[in-house]
Amino acid sequence: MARTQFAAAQAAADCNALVPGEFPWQGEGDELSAGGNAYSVETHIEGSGRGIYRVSVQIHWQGRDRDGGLNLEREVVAHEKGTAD
Amino acid sequence: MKRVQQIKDGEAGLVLLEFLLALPVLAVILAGIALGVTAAAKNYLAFRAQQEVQQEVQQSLVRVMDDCLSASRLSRGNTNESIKIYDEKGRAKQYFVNEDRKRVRKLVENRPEQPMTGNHAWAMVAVTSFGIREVDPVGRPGLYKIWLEAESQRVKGARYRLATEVYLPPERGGGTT
Repeated sequence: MARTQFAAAQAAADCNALVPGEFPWQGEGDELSAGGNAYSVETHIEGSGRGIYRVSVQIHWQGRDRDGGLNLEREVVAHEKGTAD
Repeated sequence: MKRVQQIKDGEAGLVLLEFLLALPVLAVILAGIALGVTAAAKNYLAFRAQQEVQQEVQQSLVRVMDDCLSASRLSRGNTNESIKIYDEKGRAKQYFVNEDRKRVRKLVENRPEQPMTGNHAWAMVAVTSFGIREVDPVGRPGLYKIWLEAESQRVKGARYRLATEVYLPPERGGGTT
């Protein structure tokens, strides 16, 4: 799930479409309740410079037997477009 | 002697009566224990099958994903349930679903002799769905969704689906599925 958010954020950054603030879940709705667990994904985007973003993903899950959570952070940098020689 | 004999006569049949009363009670208790043990064993085997399905799906998809992340190009392979991955030198690797002689669908790498799923003896994991698609070819080219879903053929209801997205910048060859 975190990989999905980071990949989508990177793709959006490359298209100049990444905006600081809350980033909604990019996967499908039914993926949030898989394997008997209920997941919630919160993603926060912070701009740290031109084309540079800090992406924080927090995932919480509630299962039959246990609850849990995970926090991951990554810096996403928009790729420079290649120029023809 | 006579008194001891009288006592013995008075008790005649008492053990048999106790036995006849205790036997059905014992039978009910033993049946209850047998039912409990059977139910516990069934639950354990179902739990084990679910664990095996999850493990195979997770390990296989991570392997596919790692290859995708270092690829120079991604595309759908020869079938709808296949992914072709090109490395920096243009060499192709293909992951696809193949049905073996026992008609079990397995995820394989390049050749049917290299299955990545179906290795656990108990669960008999069979792939139900595998594939790749570009999420938004126009708005966000190079963003791909990859998924793998499998179920146990031995335990009904033991199934697992895992999906994720990978991004291959168009400059690196992404966006060409």
